[in-house]
Parts: sequence; C-alpha cells; structure tokens
Amino acid sequence: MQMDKRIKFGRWEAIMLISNLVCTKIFLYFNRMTVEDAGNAGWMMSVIIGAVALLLYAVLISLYRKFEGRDILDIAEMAGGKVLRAVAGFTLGGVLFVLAALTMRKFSEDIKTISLPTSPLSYVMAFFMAGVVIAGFLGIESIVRHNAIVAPIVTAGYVVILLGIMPKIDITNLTPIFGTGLKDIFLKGFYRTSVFAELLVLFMLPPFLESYNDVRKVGYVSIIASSFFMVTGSLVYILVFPYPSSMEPFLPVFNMARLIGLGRFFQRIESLFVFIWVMSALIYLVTVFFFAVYTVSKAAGLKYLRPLIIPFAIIVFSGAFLPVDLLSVIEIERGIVNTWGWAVTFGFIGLIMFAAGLRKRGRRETKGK
Amino acid sequence: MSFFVRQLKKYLFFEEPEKLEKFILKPGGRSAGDKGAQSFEKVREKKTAESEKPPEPGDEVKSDIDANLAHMKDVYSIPVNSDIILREFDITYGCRSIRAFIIFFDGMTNTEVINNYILKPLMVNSVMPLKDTAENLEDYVVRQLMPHCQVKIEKGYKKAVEAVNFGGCALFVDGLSVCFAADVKGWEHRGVEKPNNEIIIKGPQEAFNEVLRTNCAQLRKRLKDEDLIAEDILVGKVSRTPCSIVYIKDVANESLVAEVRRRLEGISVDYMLDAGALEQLIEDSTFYPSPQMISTERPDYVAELLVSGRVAIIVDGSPNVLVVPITAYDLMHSPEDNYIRFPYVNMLRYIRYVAGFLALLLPGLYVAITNYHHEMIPTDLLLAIEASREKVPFPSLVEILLMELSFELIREAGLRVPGPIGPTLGIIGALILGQAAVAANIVSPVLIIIVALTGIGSFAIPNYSLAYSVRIMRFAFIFLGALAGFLGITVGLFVIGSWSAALKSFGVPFMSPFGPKTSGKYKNVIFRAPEWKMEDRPDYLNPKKKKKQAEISMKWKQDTEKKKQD
Repeated sequence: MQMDKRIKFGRWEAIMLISNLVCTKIFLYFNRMTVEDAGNAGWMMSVIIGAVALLLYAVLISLYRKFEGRDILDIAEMAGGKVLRAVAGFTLGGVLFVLAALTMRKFSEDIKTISLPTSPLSYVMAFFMAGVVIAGFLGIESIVRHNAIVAPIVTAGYVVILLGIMPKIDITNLTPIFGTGLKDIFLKGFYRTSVFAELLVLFMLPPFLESYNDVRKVGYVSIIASSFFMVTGSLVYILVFPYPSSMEPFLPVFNMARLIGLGRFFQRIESLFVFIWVMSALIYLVTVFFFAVYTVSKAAGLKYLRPLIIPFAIIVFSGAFLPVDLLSVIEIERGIVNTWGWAVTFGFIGLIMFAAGLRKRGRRETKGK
Repeated sequence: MSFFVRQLKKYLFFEEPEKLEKFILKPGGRSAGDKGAQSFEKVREKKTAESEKPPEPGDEVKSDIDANLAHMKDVYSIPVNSDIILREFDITYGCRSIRAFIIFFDGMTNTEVINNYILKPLMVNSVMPLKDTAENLEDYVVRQLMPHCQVKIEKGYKKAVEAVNFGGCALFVDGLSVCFAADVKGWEHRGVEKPNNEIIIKGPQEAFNEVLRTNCAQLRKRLKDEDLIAEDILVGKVSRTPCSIVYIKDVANESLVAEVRRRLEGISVDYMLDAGALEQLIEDSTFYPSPQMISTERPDYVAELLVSGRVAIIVDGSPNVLVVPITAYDLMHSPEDNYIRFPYVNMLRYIRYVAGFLALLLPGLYVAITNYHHEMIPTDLLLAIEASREKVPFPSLVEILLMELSFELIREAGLRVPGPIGPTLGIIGALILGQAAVAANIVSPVLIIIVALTGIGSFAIPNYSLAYSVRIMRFAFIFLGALAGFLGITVGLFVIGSWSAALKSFGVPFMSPFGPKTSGKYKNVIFRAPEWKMEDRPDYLNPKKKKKQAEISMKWKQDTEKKKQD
C-alpha cells in the first residue's frame, strides 16, 4: 500500500485514536500501578501524571510550531539529514514494535487466564494477530475510522463498570490521604508520565491532519480526556479495594467488574467486559503495529508498506514470546517501558525538534548574512 | 483453485499495485473545473453532440428503398424471424407515388397506434390535398403525415434498429436518406401494483413495475420538480438495455452523478437483464457481505432518497431501483420511517437493531457461553440449560449447526415450493424443528428458542440483501464462538468493523457519519429526530443544497406566539 497523500482525517478521529492508545492501559495495569507507587494517593499520582504530560506536551508543541504539516521523521531529516531520519524512524518504530509485542503478550495472557484457561497462549495470540494483520492490510483510514466508532463504545462500557461498582465504594479507603508520601506522588508521577509514551504516534499524524492547530488541539484534548479517565479509574479503584489489597488484583478493571451485582440475576457480568476489553486491545494493537510499520517504512524510504505487514507481524508475534512468563512482561513494562517511556516521547522527540529548530534558525541567519 | 493461489501470491509476494484512481466525492456539490468529473453543462453539450453525431461510415440510411429493405431484412433475419413485421406501401406526394415500408415487432408495439396514426395518414391522408407548407418530402412526412407524438428522424441504421428493438417502428421512404422512428410501444406489462416485498402499513401502496418510463413517471409524479433529471444510458453491447440515472439537478453532487455515469458507461457485457446484475457490476466491493446500495421496489422511498441528494438507477425490465450512495445505517431504515410519528420510528429502529444483533450473534453467543463462559449464566438458568442438554449426544456446535441448517433449508424450500404446498412445508418445519427434534433428543429445547429468535430477528431486518449477509455472517460467528468464545466473536466483530470502515459506497465512507464523523449524525442515522428538526441533507453526501427545509419549519407556531404577544 502506498500511503495516499489525499488521506486526511478530522480532529475527532485523531483524538479517539490517541486517547484509546493511552487509555488501554487502564484495563491492564494502570490502576494497580498507581496504588503500588503511591498507595491510597494513587489517584493523586494520576493527576500529577496528567499535569506533567500536559506540561511536557506544551513544550513539545511549541517546538513543533515551526514544522507544520511535517511528521517527526521529516523534522529529524531537517535536523540531521537522512541519517538522523533513519535513526529516529528505527528508534520510534522499534519502540512501537516493543509496545505492540508486550501488549499483545499481556492481553493474551490475561484472556487466557480469565476466559480460555485450557487454550495454548499461541492460540489466543493468533486471534489477536489475525485481527491486527487484517486491519493492517485495510489501511490507516480504516483503522482511524473504526477507532472513532469503537472508542466511544468502549468508553461507555467502562463508564458502566464505574457506575455499576458505585454501591461498593467506601470513602474511608482514601485515607491516609497522601498514601505513601508526597515524594512518591510527585517523583513517581513524573516518570510514570511514560504511560503517555504512545503520544509519539501523534507526531506521525500531522500529514494526515489539516493544520498545526489541529495537532495542538488533538494533543491537548487527548491528554486531558485520557487523564480524566485515568484519574476517575484509579480513584474508583482505590475507593473499592482497600489498600494494600488493592495491590493484589491481577486485572484491576476486570476485578472491579467482577464485583458488580445488580439483583439476584445479574451477578456475573464481567464476561461482557471481555468484549470491550478485547475490542480496545485490538484497536490499540493494530494502531501501534500499523504506525510501527509505517514509521519503519518511511524511515527506510519505502514506497509501499503492505508487503511489510506479514513479516513484521511475524516479528511481533515471535517477539511477544521472548519474555519467559507474564511476570517478566510486567517487569519489563514496569521497569523499562513505564519508567523510561517519557524519555522517548518527550525527550527524544523534543531533542529532534529542538535541533531542527536550531538548524532552521541557523540557516535563516546564514541566508540573511 | 487458481483464485486462491493468486490471492495467496498477492499477500506473500510483492507486486506493484495497479494505479487505480479512487473516486472521491468532492465537497460542495459542484465539480466544475475538476478533471475527473463532468459538470451538468458539459454533459448536456455531450448529449447534444451525440444526438447530432452523423452515423458511422456504412451505417447511413440509403436513399434507395430496395437497399434499405435488403438491409433491414438482413438485420432482422426476415423471413426466419417470425415476429418482425415489415409492411410495404405507397405514399402519395404531389402527383407521385413513392414506395415506403415500416418495420416493427409484433407484440411489442401497439398496432392500433400504428394503423391509425402512422399507416392511415401515410396511405390515406397523403392522397388528400394538404396545405403545401412543407418544403420537401422529409418535412412533408414528419410535419403533415405523421400525427404521432414521438417521431425521431434517424440518419443511421443502428439508431433505427435500436428504436425497433425497444418497441418502436421505423419508417423508410424511397428517396430519403433518413428514416423515421416512432415510439409505438405497446407490449404487455404489469400495472402499478402493491409492493410485494417491502410492505408497510402507513404510506403509499404503489410499487415500481418493469417499464422504465412508468417507473420514471412514478418518481416524477411524486417530486413534481423540473430539476428532476432522468438521464438515459444504454447498457449491454447486445441488449442495449435502457437505464436511467435519476437525480435532482440542483441537489445531487455533480461528481457523484458523474461517477454513476462513468461506472454505467464502463460496463462491457452483452446483456443486462436486471438491476440485480447491474448492482454487482457497479458496486465498490464484491466480497464485502452487505449490499452497498439500496435496491427497492418503492417509488416513495426512492423519491425520499433523491431529495436527500442521492442518485437512482432505473433499469428497464426490472421492478427494483438502485439508489447510491448509502451508509451502513441506511440499510436499517424502512420506508415507513417517513410516515409514522417519530417516537414510534425510534422504537421500531431500536427493535430492528436488537433484531439485527440477535440474528447475527445469538447462535454464536450461545456456543461461546455454553463452551467457554458458563460463569456468566445465572446458576438457575445454567442448571436448566444443562438439564435440557443432558440427553443430547452432540456438542452445542453440532447441535446449533444442525438446527440452523434445517432452518435455512426450510426457508429456501419455502421460497421454491408452489403456493398450495406452502402450509404443508410449514407443518413439516414446525414438526422437525420443534417437537420431533427435541423428542428425539437431537437438540435441546433451549436451542429451539435460540434458532427461532434468530430467525425472527433476521426477518425483522428491513433490507432483504442485508438479511442475507447477516445469515452468512452468522455461521462465521458460530464458528468463531466455538473456536475461542467471546474472544473469537470480538475478533470477528473487529474484522467486520474494520472492513466496513475501509469501505466506500460511491465515495461515501460506509460507516459515516460516525466513522468518519460528519455533522447531523443524530438526525436520521441510528435514531430519527422529529420531522421539524430535519433541516439538513446528509453532510457526507456533499449535496449542492445543504438545507431541505427552513430552520423553523413550523412557522405557524411562531405566528401564533407573535399574535399572543400582540
């Protein structure tokens, strides 16, 4: 598939895309992670994460102002020629591949645990992979549009879970109010901004959006919306599960859904949660996978990306098996992805933009002289 | 087999894709200046030029009547062909007697019209002294001797033959290198009857029939708009089937009309017999299960869709009219939605979506739940289901496939079986599907309820073609449910959703106005707003006129309020 230059999509589609990328982790581990890091004050940490992400994004987007319509690879080329473009492309593409592989492994492990305990992991993963490959072949327009339809449905499902769990809320669970301490809230809140690592996809989107203003708004709205769901999610989670037992649940939102009981008949509605969960996971996986392939193909200057889909899918599929077990996946996620993700999204991309800005100014001054 | 090998190669090996210009519906309606699209004025010029175009060399009508006679006999294989009538006679012109002949098909023409308004004036009136105003024989014939409303002067044989094939009659006169084609159609056809398949309680009760012009007239009498254009195109190299592209000139997007025209002109088949065949030749995706255009037998529904800025295609000989473009949600609308009050419409639409959900997913969900997700069934219900399945020797997948297959068999047989045997089939079906299967412990009673609900659900889907696609996809979901429970079903939904999102119907994204998001998505998409709120035409159609009614359509209300204030 040659990326069609006429493909454009609106702000709404882009907001849904980025928000879903960031919010998918709420289903996986986010709530538990905040409790592990900051105790009862996990929700405050979520606020800090959102605030720091907004701040860092404000810096990034102000740097981006001069490069309207260009994606991060074009900007890298402006900063350091084709070499930096390739370096940036392969780095960002690599990060996205790692995210795709880890998330696929994690979702598959989780589905296996709660729904298909006797099926082999590869069998479960094959279903995810099939969905990703087919949607990948259908292209970015399909991914973005489908996302715009599915994301509100997933959100509605999530809100239903939050509302359904309301009777189980115990306000005293919030105390001690500052949890494990202000240091944890702020320091960990800073590097856990890594949960916004997928924001790097936003800097591959500008050619598909109309203007700088669109990119700016998409970023801000996505961060605010994602932060809102993260904060409410972790707040409700803390209110339902008292500390320290809130550190135990394997899948926080799934376990919240398990507690929902509406009368004698509607007791076990968590199975329905599998629908929104898998849908959200598939949308996440296909988006990350597609942009990984797109970034690599663009960095390598390839005209078509469709031939790369199956080989790269095999790489992701195989890569997902590299961690020995689920615990190793969680370790990688906690220790590397969620600790250093910010450095790639905000640090690396920021540096590229800064360098390109300096180079641009230098050129202008030379011309002026 | 070679198809599958080709597909496999396509995905495993790289080949330079074909550079196909994808159609994009231009915003703003007008396409003047666009390379790909033709503006209405250009089309008018083209059509005028076509009608004035001289015949190809060798196709010209000869001035020698014997040559024309020989040619027509040759073309129509006279005398082997027994329903073609060739009548020779003389016309008196001044004091001369001139040889002439007419040719037409028996049974396709109205012989009374031919006798009274063509032959009689030519043979009898020509001997009477007429006002001598005609300058030559051609004018004399057409202006004074043929008191018929539709006469065309044709210079080529092809046009004359086309006219005769379509129920006309061609007149050749010695000494004239033209012929006269009169429209004297008179074949037997159905009248305008009640719709057979799209039955509604409230609203008009007329359906299209097989006659092109009657169908055009049905639209015209409803819309009463001089801007309603019925543009004819002949499809089929041999059959030359007349098709009409119908649209409202100052509403429909010109690039859309141009695209419909381009697709129809680009069809190369020998015969075009029905709208169903045409649909398959102009649709965007062949393998996508759902239809990508509306095929309806209701003129009132087509009129409503034309008003919204869509384009209709009428095929001569087909009682179904195609309307493009559509979105996925249009397939869940019924013509009746326009005629009943909006609270009722919304309830009906909600029921239809539930029906669609049941028809598509219920058997798959049953298989998934019974095999993988027992925990989500409340204990009492689980015990009841398990008790009823205790004696059934098959796994739930086999059980449901057996019943679904039996149901499909009965449905198909019900269509083919002659009318009087119909009730018998119903009894057999009820016995097999119901009592006997349960009594023989082949299936469980719960499954009968599942299959019955699924069947009823598929009948409640308003679009017949969509119901077909749901029937096919249901089997896919049964297998997915059996393979991986809810995971399999969700992956299936995801794939079909992605496919739908990638699809376009004549340039309009199939999932719009939700994916991509356009305005007016809460007016008449899933649910319907009150009639006074329907100010806008669908945004995704990019019509020339965005509004179809005033912001305040119930002006009387405003007037009453003013009076009160005064």
